[in-house]
Order: sequence, then C-alpha cells, then structure tokens
Amino acid sequence: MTSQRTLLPTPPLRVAMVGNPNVGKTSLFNRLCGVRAKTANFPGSTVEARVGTCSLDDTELQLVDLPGVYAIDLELPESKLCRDCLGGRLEGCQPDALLVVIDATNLGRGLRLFRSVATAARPVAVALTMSDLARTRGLSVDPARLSVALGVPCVAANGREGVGIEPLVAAIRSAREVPATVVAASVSTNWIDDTVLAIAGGPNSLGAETDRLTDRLDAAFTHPILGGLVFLATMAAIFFAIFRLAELPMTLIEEGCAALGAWLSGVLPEGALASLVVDGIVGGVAGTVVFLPQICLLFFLLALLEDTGYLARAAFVMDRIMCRFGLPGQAFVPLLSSHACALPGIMSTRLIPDPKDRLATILVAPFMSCSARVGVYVLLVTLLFPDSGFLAGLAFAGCYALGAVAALVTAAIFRRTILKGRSRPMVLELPPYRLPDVRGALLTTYDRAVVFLKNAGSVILAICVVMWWISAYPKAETPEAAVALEARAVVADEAGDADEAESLRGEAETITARAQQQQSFAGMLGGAVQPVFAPLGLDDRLTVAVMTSFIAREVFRSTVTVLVGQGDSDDDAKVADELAQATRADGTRLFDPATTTGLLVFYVLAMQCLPTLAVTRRETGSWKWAMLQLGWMSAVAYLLAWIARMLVIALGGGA
Amino acid sequence: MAEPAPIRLPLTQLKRGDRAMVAGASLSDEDRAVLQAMGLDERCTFTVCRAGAGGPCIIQLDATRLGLSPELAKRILTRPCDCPETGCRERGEGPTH
Repeated sequence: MTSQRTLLPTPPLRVAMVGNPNVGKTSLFNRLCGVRAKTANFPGSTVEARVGTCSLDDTELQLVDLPGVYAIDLELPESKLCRDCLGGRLEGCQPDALLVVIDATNLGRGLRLFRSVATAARPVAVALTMSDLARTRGLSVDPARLSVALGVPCVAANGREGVGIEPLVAAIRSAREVPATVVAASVSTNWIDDTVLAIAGGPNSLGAETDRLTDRLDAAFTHPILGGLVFLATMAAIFFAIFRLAELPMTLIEEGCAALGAWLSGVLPEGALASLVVDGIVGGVAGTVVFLPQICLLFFLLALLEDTGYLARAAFVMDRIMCRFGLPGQAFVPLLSSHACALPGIMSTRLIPDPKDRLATILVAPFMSCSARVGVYVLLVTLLFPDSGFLAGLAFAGCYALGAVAALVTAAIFRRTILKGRSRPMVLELPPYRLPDVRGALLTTYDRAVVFLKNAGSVILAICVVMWWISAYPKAETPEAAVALEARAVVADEAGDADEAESLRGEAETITARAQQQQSFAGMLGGAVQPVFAPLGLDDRLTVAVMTSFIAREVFRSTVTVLVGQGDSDDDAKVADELAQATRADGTRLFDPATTTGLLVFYVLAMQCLPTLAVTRRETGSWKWAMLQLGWMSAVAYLLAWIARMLVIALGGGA
Repeated sequence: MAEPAPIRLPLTQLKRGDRAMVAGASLSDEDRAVLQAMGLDERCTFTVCRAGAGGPCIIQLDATRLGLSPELAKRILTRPCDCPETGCRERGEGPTH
C-alpha cells in the first residue's frame, strides 16, 4: 500500500475561492499562484474566473478565483457562475473544498455569504482579510473565536503583504464541512448579529467609525464640477501615458518585426513561402502585436487606479452624463481608451458589471477615432484643405467629435432597441482609499497581455493569412513598363548613375505593385463591388484601397499611394500633392472635395479593422455581435459619407 | 388616540450626517435582492455621507460605503432615526437570506 501511495501522483486539491467584492480575494489568489494562473472562460457566461496552481509545504492546490459576489442566489452572471461552480456544474472547476474570504471590517456581510455556501456539503475554510484596516478602525476580530463559532478552520491572511499564507494553506488542507449545528443555527435571523458580537470586540464593534479623510476625498471626487475635473485630468494622464510612454516600445516592436521579416526574407527561398511568412504572418501579426505596449500600459494603470478606490467614485461622476445615452459611468474609460486603440478599449469593458451595458459599450467603442486612423485623417484633411492649417485642424478635430457622437447615438439606439431592458441599478460599493498593489497590477497586466497575444496568435493570425492570400494571388505578370524601367536601371547602373538607377527601380516596383493590387483577388473584388461605392464617388482604384484597408485602416494610405500616386512616403505634403493631381478616366479630379469629404466621413465611422472584430467576437463570445458591429458601422459610414458628399456637391464642391 | 405615522422620506431628501433606516422601496424584487445582499435591508441604520440631491448619494453602512445613483436613491424610502451607532440593527425582523 505504501509503495502504491508513493507511485501514484496525488491529484491537487481543487479549491474554489468565494468572497464579496473588494475583500482582497484576488490578492490572496495572486500571492498563492503568482504567474501560474490563467483566465478561464465558460460557455454561456460573460464573466470569467481565474484558475491557478500553488505548491506549498508538499500541498498541491488548484485554486479557482471566482468573481466577487454579494450573494450566490442573485440573478446576476457572477452569482450564477458561483452557483454553477459550487454545484459542480462547471467543467474542470468542480471544487473539492471552498475557501470563503471574509473582510474583517465587514463581518456581517461576509457571514451572510458564508451562510449561503455552508450548505454546499463541501469542506470549507475561512480566510479573514483586512485585519489591519479593522484594527485602525478600532475593531478587533479574533480568527480563533471565529473558527470556533463557524466550526471550520479560520486564519487571518493578507495577500498584498504575504502575511498568513502558510497558515492559510494549512487551514485549506484541514478544511471540513460546516457542522450541522452551525448550519441549523445560521437559519436564525439574529445569527449573524450574535456571531459578530461574540467574536468582534473593541470600541466600535461594527467598524463604522466615520473616516474624515474618506469623507473629504469623496466630497471632492464625486463633486459635480471638481469631480469631473479630477476625472478629466486623470483620464488625460492615462491617455498621455498610453500615447507617449508606449511610443518607444511600439517602435521597437515595429523595428524588431521589420528586422525579423528582413532576416526571414534572406533565409527563406524567394517565392510563395517567403511571402506567406514575411508578408502574411510576420507583417500581419506585427500590425496587431504593435499595440501590446498600449494594452499593457492601459491595464496596468487601470488596475492601479481601481486598487486605490478612485475608479468606483469616477464611475459615479460620469454616470450622470453617460446614462443619457443608455451607458453606465464605467463605460467612459473603455471609450476613452479606444482613442488609442479599440482593442484595449474593448478588453477594458470588463470593468462594466451589467452585461447589456458592457455589450453596448463593446459595440460602439470602435467608433472612437483610434491612432490607426490618424494617418488616413492627415492624408484626407491635407487633400481637403491644402492651404489652410486652421481649417485642416478644425476638420481633424471634427473627425474625433463625429466618431464620439456616432458612438453615443448608436449606444442610445441599441439600448432602446436590440439591447432594450433595464440596466443594473447604479449601486456601487466604494472601497476604502488605499495605496495600490503594484504586484497585483503587474499580474493583472500579464494576464491581459497573455489573453491578447493568444488572440493575436490564433484568430487574428488566421485572418491575416487569408487577407494576405487574397491580396497576393493570383500572381500578376510583371508589366512591360516595369520591365523596361528595370532595363533602364541596369543601363544607369552601368553608367555609374546609382541615384537614377534607384529611382527607376522604385518606379518599376510601384508599377509592379499596382498591377498586383489590381489583378489580385482583392483587386478583382474591388472592381466587382465598385458600383456599390460609385455613389460615394470612388473609382475602381479607391474601391480597391477601401477593400484592402479592411484588414486595418492604415493600409488605405499605402494602397492608395501605390494605385494612384507614386508610392508611399513619409512626406505627407508630397503624397497629398501627388494624389491631388490624380484624375479619373474622364479627366476630372479623383480627390474632388465632395469625394474626399465622403471618404473622410467613411473612415471616421467604418469598421475597417479585422483585429477589432476578432476581439469583439472573443469578448462577446459570439460572431453574431461582431457581425452586427461590422454591418451597423459599415451602413452608418456609407450613409453618412453619401450624405456628406451630396452636401458638398450641393454647396458647389463637386469638382 | 393613534400615534402619528412615522415620517418617511426618499433617500435623496436626507442631508449629510443624517441617520436613517430603510422603510421601503419601489424596486423590482431583483434590485431589492441586490441591495439586501449588499447589506442595505430594512433592519439596518445608515449614515448619509453625501446627500443625493441631483447627484450620487453616498451612505455608510457598517464599515461599507455605498454609492447610489439619484434614480435609485429616490426610489428608496427612509425613516430618519436617532440611533447613535451606524450599522446597528433591529433584532428579529427582516429577511434572513
């Protein structure tokens, strides 16, 4: 028997962690599991749990960090997830034991939750957190007496500081079912009050001392004007950090991917495989992974802010404005973050507790003008107002305003139609102000980054490969003009005129790329759908540019400069000059004011970003919502672009 | 002679520092259950930390601060009380969960 015990590995003890929100449950989980944790999604549920492993004192634990709940019998997604887990209905998460995490400053509420899970017929242990905060409030809670009162092991622990972790693991190991006498007694109305009085002592046994500092901070942070200003300043700082601090790592990623692509081009034999790897895989994934620094920064800063207790107050300040559009106050952060990139914006909607509110925010977030649109805006605005920096600036700001208005109006429409229904009443626990837990914020950031990279490595990679294929095939023959230019380049080389040779080769490459764009499946598709875009004034070249930029908006610029101009360049004015000279088959200007305005409106509003669609699918759990987002945004973009073009024509800007 | 009915005020009409108990609420069962789970039931007293006239209302309940939107706060009826300690509960009444 002994040899059997040593030969057979002991399965880890699976423990579900249950607790109210803001009790320090996730800090304990992070302390126990560190980076050995991952986010787990469950079919049919919009909330998630984290699963991790922990090994301490020869005890192997698998911990499930369930979302914080006030009660498990509520009709809320997080309560349902807890019910399913405790009932053994979550695949891979059937717990052997429960760890109930109770806040020492809020014993009564913790005991109500304990009472509701005590009948689950599973061994239970209790972790008592926030004991330090309780002490500062003149409240003393004795875990030994609590253990006696509840009939299960109970220890004080602090995840942030790593205090009481080993005794906690020992308590989990000796977890036992709640005695029948305690279960029977807990039915009594006064059981909670009696238990609190029996184990808590001190001058203020309920911990309800008024906190003047908290009062003052709350008065400032929730003030209609001062609170709004503080919030705007905070968001501006986050926005600045996302744009500026992420700049260097983003450049490094871009340069690293470019170097990797160049190296692979040299190593792989020239042909389809090299093109697939370099242009399709490395190029495509690099276009998404480049946003990783912004995502990491956003989640790190949001985790810090949430930890300080400020974010809950900010939600209240914004609720007054956002509720007019059917959105909760918490939606402001994801919408603002979407100005950097819709990907982190959509991922940060997890701050929003109500599923319909969250869905509405996800659906409208891509309307906000992201940094990828900036290149397109600059190009089109320069084409519209080449001689007036003021008007160009005004049009540029107008693009941002148009996107924001479209997002809010769409949210109001969706919340009154397809997402009709009551929102969760705006009642939030305002956690105590405290210094943020940097370690916890880093772990949250790491977790989000892993989720994002997994997404980039699966769905987005597949989409990139498909888009590469339809742009690269069928292969076009090198145009005669390009062959002739190459021949002239060779002659120039022989004559020792390297500059002329380089210029000729560049011209030849542009002609070859133009032929490839036009003769590829994407080009053929563009030609076939051109009649659809004709009311917007787009010819077949602009239609191809719009179609290929469906992978990402910034592709528009490179495609249109290849198809219409002389190839892409960093010089915006030069590119705009070249495009301004472009004509249609009938000799009229291609970028007339009406068409350019329509195109600008189209790019403000259209969902031209496949990675965003992939993230929407992931966050909503269904392609249905991603397709609705695509259809709605495309329809709104098309309609408003057409109206804008017609208005400009009516005002005499048609040519 | 019958005693006068106790005063019942919407939560939004209480002033900062007022102590009160929940006397009723025109809320759905679901919303009522959420509030009860958060500790705001008809047995407990709370202190108003920020009055909710036109804006969010903040109350302190035991050691917890709850923020309520004005729309929600105006649907909660309260009974002002002189109970000296926030969080004290009436015994033997109310739900047990």
